[in-house]
Amino acid sequence: MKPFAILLCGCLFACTVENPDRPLPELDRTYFDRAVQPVFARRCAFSDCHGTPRRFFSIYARGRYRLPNALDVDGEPIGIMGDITRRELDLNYERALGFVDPNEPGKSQIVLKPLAEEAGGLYHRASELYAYDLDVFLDPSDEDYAVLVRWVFGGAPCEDGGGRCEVPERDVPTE
Amino acid sequence: MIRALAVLPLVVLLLAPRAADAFSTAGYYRGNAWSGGGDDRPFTGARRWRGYGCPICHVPAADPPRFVLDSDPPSLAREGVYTPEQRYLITVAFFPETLPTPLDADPAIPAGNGFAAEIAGASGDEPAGDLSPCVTGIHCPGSVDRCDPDLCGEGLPASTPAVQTLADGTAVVVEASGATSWQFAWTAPPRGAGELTLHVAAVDGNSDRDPTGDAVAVARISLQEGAGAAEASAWVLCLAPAALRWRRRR
Repeated sequence: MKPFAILLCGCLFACTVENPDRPLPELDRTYFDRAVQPVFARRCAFSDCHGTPRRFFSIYARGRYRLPNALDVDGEPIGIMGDITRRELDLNYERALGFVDPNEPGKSQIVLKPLAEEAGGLYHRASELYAYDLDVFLDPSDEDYAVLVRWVFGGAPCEDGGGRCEVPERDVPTE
Repeated sequence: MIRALAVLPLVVLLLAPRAADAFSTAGYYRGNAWSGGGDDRPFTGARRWRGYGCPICHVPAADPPRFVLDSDPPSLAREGVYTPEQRYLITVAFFPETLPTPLDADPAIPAGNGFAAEIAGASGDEPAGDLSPCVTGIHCPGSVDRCDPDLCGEGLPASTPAVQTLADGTAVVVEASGATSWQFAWTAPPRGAGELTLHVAAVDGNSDRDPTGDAVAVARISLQEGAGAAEASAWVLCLAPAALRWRRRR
């Protein structure tokens, strides 16, 4: 009985804890579309990884996981190899922001989870799923990793020419 | 073919159930990721690709395919031993095909069968030796293409689409098709390369043009450096002891 009472008190106390919503940070959207999305597609969006609705952080990418029932600009189903849609990019961007700590960008999960623990990263199940037990980024020198870091720190807009903005501006969907 | 199967011990190569992104055309391997390509990654399961193989994208809904490795000379696949600078013809074949092409399938749509392979050096990251597709494309009776015309008549009963290498020549991939066997050539590195690893990943597609419902397998085979002279050529089906490790996830 005593443990139950303690548990009940704990629950009641927990209900009174302030846990307000936090606004999402605002990070460079153009840089996301042209530099971060290619990194997601290349390193994260496989269907066995984050290219699935089973993941809390699921990612859409061309040739990988697609937004169910998504249509192209002509109203036709996009198919797995259809161009990425604006809606898919919007969802990827918003979900990614949820893993960014605006107060301490360097501690954002989006940069710590895929980095090997030996290099200072956090536990990431991807490091256990395949042969060799390697995480996505073995160390911070990985160019794709640098793109994520630049983004969460709010730097390297595409206009600077040094941010690895792979996607030509003309290929970023506008609607 | 039947005689060969009866006489030779077959070793079934690994089976790693689950599917990954196999691409319907070899060109997809070379395409950039943001446009749906593989960024020149073959997904063979090698260390330099973090161990990612076909199952990273292909979601398996069928038992993993069984495939056999064949080599000429045979010691490579049968004994896991290579002779420095020896040229080998290597055959990858489903045995049998797990998901045959439906009879009512659209002939214009590839069945989605394919494989990718590479041979890594002792470090696990650097490719070893030289891979080459069967560019000479010898067409044998029964629509079987071989690197070596002497092999005609002893091969496996399937057509062989052109095997291609990645842009840097470090891995071989194929056009997805209804084929169930493929062949490529590999020249072993000079003496002193030490233990190598052959990585093979294969998809037995279910003809639906997406990465779901396929049968997928990944294998790793250790190759030891031998000291002997080149062996006599022989065409045999053989199994290599597969040092495989596959993990069931979830």
